[in-house]
Amino acid sequence: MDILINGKKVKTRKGEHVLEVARREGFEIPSLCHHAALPPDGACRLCLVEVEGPEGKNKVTTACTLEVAQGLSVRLDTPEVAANRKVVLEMLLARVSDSPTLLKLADKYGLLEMRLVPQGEKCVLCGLCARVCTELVGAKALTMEGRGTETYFQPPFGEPAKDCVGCGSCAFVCPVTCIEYKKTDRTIEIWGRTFERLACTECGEPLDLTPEHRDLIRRRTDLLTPAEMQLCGGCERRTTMKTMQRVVEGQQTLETARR
Amino acid sequence: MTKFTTPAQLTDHVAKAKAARDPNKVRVSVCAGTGCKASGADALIAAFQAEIEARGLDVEVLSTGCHGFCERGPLVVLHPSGVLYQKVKPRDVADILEKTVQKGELLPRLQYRDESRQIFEKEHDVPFYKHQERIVFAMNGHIDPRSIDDYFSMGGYEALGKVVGQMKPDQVVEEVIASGLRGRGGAGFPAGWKWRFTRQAEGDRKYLICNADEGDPGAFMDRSVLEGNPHLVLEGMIIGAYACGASEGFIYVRNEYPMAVRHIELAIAKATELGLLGQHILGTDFSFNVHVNRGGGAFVCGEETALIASIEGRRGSPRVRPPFPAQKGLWGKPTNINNVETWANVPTIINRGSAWFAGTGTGDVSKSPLGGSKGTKIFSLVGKVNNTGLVEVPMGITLRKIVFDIGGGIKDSKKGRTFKAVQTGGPSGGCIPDAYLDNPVDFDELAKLGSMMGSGGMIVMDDRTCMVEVARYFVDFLKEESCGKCTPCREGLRAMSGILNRMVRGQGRHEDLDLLEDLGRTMKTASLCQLGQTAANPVLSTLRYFRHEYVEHVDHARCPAGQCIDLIEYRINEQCTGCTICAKKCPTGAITGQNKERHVLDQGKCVRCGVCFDVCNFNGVSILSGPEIAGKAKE
Ligand SMILES: Cc1cc2nc3c(=O)[nH]c(=O)nc-3n(C[C@H](O)[C@H](O)[C@H](O)COP(=O)(O)O)c2cc1C
Ligand code: SF4
Ligand code: SF4
Ligand code: FES
Repeated sequence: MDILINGKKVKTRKGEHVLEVARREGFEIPSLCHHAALPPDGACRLCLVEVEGPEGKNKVTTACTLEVAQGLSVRLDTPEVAANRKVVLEMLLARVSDSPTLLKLADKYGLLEMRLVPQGEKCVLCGLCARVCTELVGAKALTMEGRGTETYFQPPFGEPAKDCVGCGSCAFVCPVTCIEYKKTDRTIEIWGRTFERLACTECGEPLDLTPEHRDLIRRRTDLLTPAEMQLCGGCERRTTMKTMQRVVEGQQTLETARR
Repeated sequence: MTKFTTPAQLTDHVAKAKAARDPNKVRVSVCAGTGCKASGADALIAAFQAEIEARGLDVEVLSTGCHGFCERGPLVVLHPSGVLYQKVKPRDVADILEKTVQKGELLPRLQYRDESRQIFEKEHDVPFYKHQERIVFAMNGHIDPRSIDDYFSMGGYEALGKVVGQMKPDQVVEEVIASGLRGRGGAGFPAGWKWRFTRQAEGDRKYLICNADEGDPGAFMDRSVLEGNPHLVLEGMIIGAYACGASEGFIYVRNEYPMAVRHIELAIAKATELGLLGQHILGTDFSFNVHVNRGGGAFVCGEETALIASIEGRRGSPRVRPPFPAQKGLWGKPTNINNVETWANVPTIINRGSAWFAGTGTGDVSKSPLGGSKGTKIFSLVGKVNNTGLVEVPMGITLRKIVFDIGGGIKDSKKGRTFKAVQTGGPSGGCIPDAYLDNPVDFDELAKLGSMMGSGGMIVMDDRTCMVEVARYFVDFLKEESCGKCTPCREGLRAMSGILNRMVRGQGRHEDLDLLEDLGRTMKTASLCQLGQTAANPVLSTLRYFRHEYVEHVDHARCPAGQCIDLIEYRINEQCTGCTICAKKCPTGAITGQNKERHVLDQGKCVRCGVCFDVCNFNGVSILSGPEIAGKAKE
């Protein structure tokens, strides 16, 4: 199925969304809440594009949630898109004023003037942390709490995250790096909890793996033995191709399980 | 009564029940809706029953659903004469029975009078009712909502018999499309189209939902329909299930509506017992079950995708559409969701035909249901009008007719109060000024004016209502109710709230006007769900029609309506006759003065509640605002 992006004909597959297609083709669209490994959520509203409609009735919508369809034609830089994107950025920057990610975007998309009162928040509420934790990791340690401007992504009731396994995925995906994640030789600290770091069973090197995370992976798939999981990068590379293959297969099963 | 095992049995039973209803039977219809219950309907009904028995009269007491005119409750209508009594107390019961029912004499003390003290005898002559047209509310006032027999006797379930006995599902869908029925829950999407999508969607299981979340503050039409005629909603749903191919239905009703829940649960039990619901309905292959879900009552949970998430036990946050519920709804299955009032229109459309239904309203729906707005709409009319309550009016009626004929005009017009605007569509509706009072009320017309039908809220505002304050009020409400998921709605409302709260304190800036418009445009264009997409309406519509009021606030710290308490002062002027009433009513004792002498107001003690202004009968209190008041000038 072909679609048009800025007038250029582009090949797509059914079920794909405009954001991923456009990026694959080298177009730039800003986003905060999109992650290639997760289904789209449409929360940040930065990835605006204009869809050409009949009789000039165009519509601005988010590229991440826009499924490709026969005859679809989108434009990425219309005045309508630019103006609205600028206001969305202005809103985000009022919320979190010191984020380099946002400041870079503001610079790039021509936001010159801040008219809104700074809120001094750290989190942009993209929701990636909770979605990664729920849908990919499977720990479900984080939830969206509150409502309106008093919305927070955090462990239930803001208490130390009882279901957290210390994998650090949330801190890793956070676009504004606002999740505190501290690593020492022996521990990982996150969401009010301190986890033990497992050591490589071959060389003793501390791993980014906690016993809780290992057990969670064990519960979700039986393709990896504890011994296989507990190898550092170097030692892992030295193990047989067969194991490697099983790891890959294991990931695929994880992917399918998620779907 | 035993289970109906064929559609013909049902049709037959309804025909007999209709014929058996004696139109000349003397009935005392007492409104027992939530409003009238609060003003003492239960005691009144008991008193009637006791008194009728004591006197050995052949009179039936009907405890009915809401009549709409709650403000005057408890309401009593005597049938067959149609005499209306209002604010009736148990001590009036003996008089009513003896004088009116037995001797045909009227009791002026209980009769309705309009502002000019003119008496109206019969319910249908009272201006509040006279200009209404009742399809959904047609039976309220004539039946006991707890009695399926009453419903049968008014032709209830006739439509179901016809549908299951004589129509194919596609025919039902086409009939609803031809009627032009559009959703009453907000967006006005053609109901038949949605049914068709659900019917055609692939899926082994399909669901129906009745949206009775009714989160708009001040709206209570859905509650009144469910309380007053639950079988009508249920019959609509069963017909819808037959048409869509759904096997399971959910009524999502807010927890604050206990009577609605009780009545609908009773209706479900009774209908199931009689084979109108459950397995093998009327002996056919068609099966359908209905469950009641109680919602926590967050405003955003009325949005269909949030509501579905909530039924599934997840957080009530909206999600991106498409996929629409008709494609992927409850538990990923095709789901048709309609509002209470939408469902309640269905049996009448089947009984009287799509052509009859399309005979009321605006536009031409012969090519597409979007060609007009058909049938009636129930509004909850409140604010600065003389008559408030629920009114069911034909689509296309003018705002003037609603406000001035049904609503009886502006409250305190004798004291000079005049119409300023009518706010329609609930919290995210818009304010419409007097220039458009003669415009017809329908889905498309209201949208053109920058407002919307919404679920039917209608708030009338007078010249003392500040439009900046109105915008601030609704924005603050929506800010609390936004689910918080997407940036434009959440941050846009926060920013607007900050600006408007500054403005009403006289600390606005002229640039704020453009900023509000910029924010509003992006909220409208870029928000994820309709809450955010419509949340700027209160601001944008007031900026459009009442920009001068904003300008006065930001440039001169003046509130032209005299409502923003930080910007005004009350002063006693030379018209004061020294009647002393203001001094007596002032809660802080800020007013002093001798009888028949001009009074004095101590600004230091005044809390600007406005009681003196309201009670003065001589225009002796003025409201000052702007630079002329000391100490309040803009910093
Ligand atoms: C914020 C928000 C609140 C809503 N609240 C309600 C409600 O209380 N009742 C309702 O019937 N529809 C409500 N809706 C509309 C529903 O999403 C949906 O359109 C409707 O239930 C469909 O039924 P209809 O086509 O019969 O109107 C709301 C929509 C939004 C965006
Ligand atoms: S903490 Fe980071 S990842 Fe989580 S919602 Fe906030 S910005 Fe997004
Ligand atoms: S528009 Fe408002 S209510 Fe709707 S998803 Fe966005 S934040 Fe939530
Ligand atoms: S990336 Fe599309 S809304 Fe955030």
